[in-house]
Amino acid sequence: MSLSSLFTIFISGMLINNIILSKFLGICPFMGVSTKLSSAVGMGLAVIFVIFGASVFSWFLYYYALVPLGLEYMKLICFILLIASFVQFVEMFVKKTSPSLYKSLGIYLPLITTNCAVLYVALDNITQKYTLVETIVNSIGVPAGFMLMLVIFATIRERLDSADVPEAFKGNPIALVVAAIMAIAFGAFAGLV
Amino acid sequence: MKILYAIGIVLGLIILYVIGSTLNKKTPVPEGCENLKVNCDACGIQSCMVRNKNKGEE
Repeated sequence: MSLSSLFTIFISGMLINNIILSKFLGICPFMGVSTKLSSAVGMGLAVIFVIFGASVFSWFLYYYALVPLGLEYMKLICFILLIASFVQFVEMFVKKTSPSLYKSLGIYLPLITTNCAVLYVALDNITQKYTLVETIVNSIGVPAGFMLMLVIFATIRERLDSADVPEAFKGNPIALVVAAIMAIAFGAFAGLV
Repeated sequence: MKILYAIGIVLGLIILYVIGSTLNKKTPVPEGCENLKVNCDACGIQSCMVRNKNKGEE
């Protein structure tokens, strides 16, 4: 495991195999919370924190409990429960320790519990047979790509509000057209590494 | 024996979730954050719990 392979994992997760544009996961918050830049940044930061924490805990659960007991087939249900529990504890911790952080991130936590991107990253780390360090890098790279998309998309949507769009395309239709164009543009990263 | 381990792990995680959820509900919301709402109006999923909760409070 070299620094270049870690960099490849990071860039691959963030740009080349972007979770929204190439896997079509996490579309609900992508469409729902991208109308304002401030909401997009808050949601993005919360997703980075939750995916990172949930993936690392999932990795430990899999390799230190499920594999030794021969219960690898239980990973899906175990990860779902672990992610749901983790989000509850994070919300409680943020409520108690930092009201200002809760004000900016806490309201997005219930949305993240149902975000399939969290489960995807936890499962992908196992499927790719990543080590702990690779898991950490991938669990930062993938949500960083999610946040990047959310922020870019939010800035475009804010401008779309004042754009002269045909009546039939206003709202979600033009947003989906923009997302499709972004997916084509990001397809150009495929040959990067 | 394996099935007992499997049941034990799942039960343990369910208990962890119930404890987390109960403690989270008992923790008071900080001052000034009582009426925070997620601005996710652009999402059209009718069955979403957050959307239904927001509508119920209106």
